[in-house]
Amino acid sequence: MRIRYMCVSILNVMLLAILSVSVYSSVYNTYYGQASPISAETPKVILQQGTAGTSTIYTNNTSAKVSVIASTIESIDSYDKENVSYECETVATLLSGSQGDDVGVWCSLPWNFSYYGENKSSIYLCSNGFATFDVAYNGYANSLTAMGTRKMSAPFWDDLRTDVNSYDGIYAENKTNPDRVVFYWRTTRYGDSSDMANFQLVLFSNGTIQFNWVDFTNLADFSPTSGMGKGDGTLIDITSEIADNKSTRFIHNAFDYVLEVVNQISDAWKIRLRVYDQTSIGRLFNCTIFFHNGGGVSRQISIYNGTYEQLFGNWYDLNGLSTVYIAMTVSATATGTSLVYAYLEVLVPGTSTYNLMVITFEIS
Amino acid sequence: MSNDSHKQNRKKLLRTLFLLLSSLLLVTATASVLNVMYMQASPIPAEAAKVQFVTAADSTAAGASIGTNGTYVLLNSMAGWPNSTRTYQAAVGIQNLDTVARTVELKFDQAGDWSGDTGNIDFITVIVRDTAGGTQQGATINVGTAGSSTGAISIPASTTWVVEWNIRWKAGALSTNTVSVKLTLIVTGE
Repeated sequence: MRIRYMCVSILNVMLLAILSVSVYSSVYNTYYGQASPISAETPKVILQQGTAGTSTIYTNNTSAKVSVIASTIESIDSYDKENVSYECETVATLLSGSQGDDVGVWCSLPWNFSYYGENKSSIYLCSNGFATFDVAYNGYANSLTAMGTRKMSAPFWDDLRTDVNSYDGIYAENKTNPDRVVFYWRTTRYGDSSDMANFQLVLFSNGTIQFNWVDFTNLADFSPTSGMGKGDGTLIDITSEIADNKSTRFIHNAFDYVLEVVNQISDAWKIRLRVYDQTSIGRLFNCTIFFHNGGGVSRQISIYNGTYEQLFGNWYDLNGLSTVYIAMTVSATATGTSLVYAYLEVLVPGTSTYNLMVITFEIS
Repeated sequence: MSNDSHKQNRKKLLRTLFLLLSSLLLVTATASVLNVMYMQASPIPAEAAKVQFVTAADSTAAGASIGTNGTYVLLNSMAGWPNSTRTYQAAVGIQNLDTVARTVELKFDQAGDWSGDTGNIDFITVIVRDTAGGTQQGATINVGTAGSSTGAISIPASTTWVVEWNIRWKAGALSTNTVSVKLTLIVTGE
């Protein structure tokens, strides 16, 4: 027994000795990394208010909250309407095939014409007093809804004929200074040829559109629709403004936008939006957030039918001393408030150094 | 239990205690009679560091200067915009030049390791990743929290990891505000 106790005791002593030695046996090296100075610098890229919705820009212009209403589509492309002095242009060339009832003809444009931001090389002219892009259409049953769901420019959409009088029809002529193409409808009302409507559609090469209402006989007998449809339900209705000897012009308004991203220095950056959180987006039927710089568009965030289609976008150039605009389209299936939280990432080109700015999109 | 067995146990305990005390005395006691022996360490060479700081994708933007032998780095041009997070995904690299894995630990050691306008800092975090924006290695270092570290992490042989800095100044920070931060890299082993 005594031997056993001795052995245990010796083991205890050895254990103590091993422990005391091992504590000091680690070999290690210590390096230092120093970051000095780390500065708070004046922001070189800032956020500023847009033309659509309500924006709150926070201190230093490095974060913002955008509030929009879903029932109001914040268009990324629109037109400003203005009344101009009455004009009636001389147009001599009758378009072949344009005379008849519910007929139409395709006409090539002398240049690409930007309609709601989309370039068009041809236009379809219908005897019922309107023109469409992309798709031929000869409908006589005019309505605002039907106009809004088509890419339609309608000086005077009604149930018309262009084959009663010998001079009836659709005329066209390219003109210059400024570059424009003029279409002239000479029509009668279907069912009563004594009711007459003569009007013009003028497309300018810079995207401006003009209606010239020349003269009407028994205007009150007509029930026209006048304005422009974007094709997605968006429309401009000026039916109530129709009158003899009157002209109205639609000037292409580059874009509405909810925020500006302004580069205050000559160095270029790359930017993109990236979602990092959200609340109650299930009610959003179609919510798309874009960048544009006046020359191009880049979809960054997209929600369709309550779920994300796209959480972040491609890098987009923010050139030196330039501005990129953040625009959005919104529609919802129910009332409520949805929040989309996103980072605006501002990247130093060629590096992985970037700044994160918080932007909250509140959609009522 | 009988009185005899109690006595026996007590004896055993006493013996054990005695032995323990004796062993401790053996270890700690200073003899009044002593012999002097010498230990010689020669040569002690200056060898190349097996783990070194190296430049990475954002080193230029961060103003990284790597010290001789790669055992020190100074980042002298990092900045941030108030109320916005600035990220340097690869401010500097940590390279294991050895043929075996090495255990390293990056650490904000003590409160005194940062100074300046620290009250206007919302946060500074440092993360070690395998590549820029890649998988995080170890824990996040919160600058300002003494002892905050990645923990011991094993960097494989012939591998370079990157150190990511995230800086956020409070909204009220002024363009004159600055801070200085010191981090410690502990590399275990020879």
